[in-house]
Amino acid sequence: MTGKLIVGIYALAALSQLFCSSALASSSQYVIQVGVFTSEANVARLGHRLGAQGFPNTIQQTTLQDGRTAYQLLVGPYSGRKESVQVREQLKSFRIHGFIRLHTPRSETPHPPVPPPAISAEPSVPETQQQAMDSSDTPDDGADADSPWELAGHVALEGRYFPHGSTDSRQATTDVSMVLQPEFYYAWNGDKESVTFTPFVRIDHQDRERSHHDIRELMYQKASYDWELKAGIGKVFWGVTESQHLVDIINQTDLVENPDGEDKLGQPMVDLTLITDNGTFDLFVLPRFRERTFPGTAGRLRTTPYIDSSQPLYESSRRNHHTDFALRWSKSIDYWDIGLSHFNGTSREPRLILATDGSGNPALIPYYDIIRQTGVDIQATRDAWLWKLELIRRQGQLDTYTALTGGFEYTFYGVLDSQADIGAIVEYLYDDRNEGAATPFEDDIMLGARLALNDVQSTELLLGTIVDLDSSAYSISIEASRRIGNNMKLSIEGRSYSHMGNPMYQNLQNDDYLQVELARYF
Amino acid sequence: MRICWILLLALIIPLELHAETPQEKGLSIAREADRRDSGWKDQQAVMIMILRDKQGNESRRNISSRTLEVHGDGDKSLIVFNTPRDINGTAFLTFSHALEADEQWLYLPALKRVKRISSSSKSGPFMGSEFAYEDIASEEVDKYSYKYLRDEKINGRDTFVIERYPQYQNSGYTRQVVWLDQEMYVPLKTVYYDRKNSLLKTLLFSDHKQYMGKFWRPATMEMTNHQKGKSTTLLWEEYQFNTGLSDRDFDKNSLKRAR
Repeated sequence: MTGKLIVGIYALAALSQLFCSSALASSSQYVIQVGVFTSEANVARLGHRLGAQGFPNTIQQTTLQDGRTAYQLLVGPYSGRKESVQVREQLKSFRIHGFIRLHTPRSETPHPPVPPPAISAEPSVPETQQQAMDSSDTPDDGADADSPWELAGHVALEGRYFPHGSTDSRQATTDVSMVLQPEFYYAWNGDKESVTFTPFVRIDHQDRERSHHDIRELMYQKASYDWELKAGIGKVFWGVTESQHLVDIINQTDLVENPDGEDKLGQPMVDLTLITDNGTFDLFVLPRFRERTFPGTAGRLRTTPYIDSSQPLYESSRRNHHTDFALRWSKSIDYWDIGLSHFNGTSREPRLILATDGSGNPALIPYYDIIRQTGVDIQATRDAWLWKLELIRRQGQLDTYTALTGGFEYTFYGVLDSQADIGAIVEYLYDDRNEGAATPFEDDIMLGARLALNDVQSTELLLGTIVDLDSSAYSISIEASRRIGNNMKLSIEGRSYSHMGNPMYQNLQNDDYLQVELARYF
Repeated sequence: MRICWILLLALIIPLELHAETPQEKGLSIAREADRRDSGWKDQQAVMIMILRDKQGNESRRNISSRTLEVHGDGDKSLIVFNTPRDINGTAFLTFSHALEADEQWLYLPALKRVKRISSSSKSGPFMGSEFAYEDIASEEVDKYSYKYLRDEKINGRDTFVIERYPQYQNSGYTRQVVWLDQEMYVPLKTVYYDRKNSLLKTLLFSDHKQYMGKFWRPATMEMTNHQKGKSTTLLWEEYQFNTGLSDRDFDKNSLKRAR
């Protein structure tokens, strides 16, 4: 009862404020308050200086609650809001940031007493900065403090060790490589427009195919209220699951980087985003196709025979100039995050055809079909549960097929009274092409555990295994990372392909590896 | 003008007549603090977080934050990490609610992936610091029940001392004791008691400044964990208010663009 009464009273109070201020507004002029001082000498000095620069000003006295006198320095008055905004902008070139308020002659409405300055603040310091700008007229005020240029990125040294030797004498048991990936960012128009440029280069001492470079991003971006436009080269991620990313189709996989397929090549695109009350619509035009990268003959983690990426085959006569299209709708509704997508164009995933390379040796040749793929991705987030589903239907790559990944992630927060979290991940992977699938995941289950120590170094560990339910085949992976100092990160990764079900990947049986990467970020 | 006085009288009289219980007084102080801190519309600031371990080793994080005031619900906020550099561009978008679970998304720039994440880890540490997620979340009156304890002077300032009890799920605290400045109506000190009701942390607010002639914000927040001997300092800079942000600056699209 009391509660309701109090709310009612506040509503009345708010109303009375509204009435009073609107009554004033009709008859008042504007001033720019440039500071509140407790030292009369200081306020006089600044007032004099401003007067000399041609800014008429007055000093208004108020009494603080502890009995001291405070002096407000007011520039003006001006009869128009517009004029006062102009003067406020002029004042900025003198490093004076004022705010506009109604001119209230003392006799009509006493200015509310100014509370004493900050508990530990010097009483005589001009408190000009205390008054934030009332920047409702100039929304881009917020951007002028920072430089519009930004440089970020990382350089890393990576070593890989393969404990099992290979029957192919061209392959080695160790590999060392280096990566450089800077990012240049420039924004203007109050950060509503920007250009990002992210080149990438890896130099690998073992595999010539893995020594490669790419433009990960070269993107112009413009954001408006209900639309955004991106044009250039970039990366887009769709999906929710952890074990594989069925729905994610815009970018080609940079497979030489990592067998997990999460590294992507920059994709030329125009992406128009429309933001509506009924969700977000993304329309993509993808004018150029990127071929998948594959390890070379001297590289590990490859098929036998190797994949010769120098002579790809295409269904389309326009080859990699075929223009692909994609459309996506996504929306968050309560605890649901839903995405629906359709893609029409060159399959990012090639079929592999047995042939011979230029020297007459057996090789697999990638063949890129024209496909149509419809995808759904859904996540429901309930307390510590994340329920996930990705489903695709693909036409045009031999028989039409359906594939899905579905499962959950449950997190135990603050385990054993520590600040660490442990997450359990279970996902089921299905593909109705059965054993004929170009994927090893046709009826498999992924079990994972994620440990986050939540410490200063952001130490994290992810353990996972994928088990083929139809055979004894399984693979194991481990990923761990920890920050060192402020700018370095150490990552360790290991994978074991003890028994891969798909004959295409049987060569991986010898390709268990342990990888250590030390990266320096800037 | 007369209507103002009538409304003002309507405001004063019922409060004069009613004798409050400590619970009612605690609640009405919390409401007054909430009322005085409403109307800023949106807020942007830069936060420097300094983490200190037992040995005094320091590590820093630079974070930019923006918040949108939402009437009748919790605020929306977006924070972006600038350092450590390995998480540069990592961003959190939060739609907070008083009693229901918050909605939260995480943006991972390396993967360009927006991930909906669980908001159940309210008591978990925020980026390895001594601040829990719930300590930096938007303050809503309904998140707690209250009890006024006493008036007390600290550092020469008159304060109300109020005990408050989290009403939302997954809080790491049984209670918090807040020293609220009687003039500024913002906390000067908060003491946190863990689930076993043992003293856990003390948070000191200082160097308050007033913005837009109305809103008081501390420039320094110092959290000390008494059980672990660690501390975290937050230094707030470049506060800006009412910069014209809208819902569109707090959605998954803007999360991907945030810097």
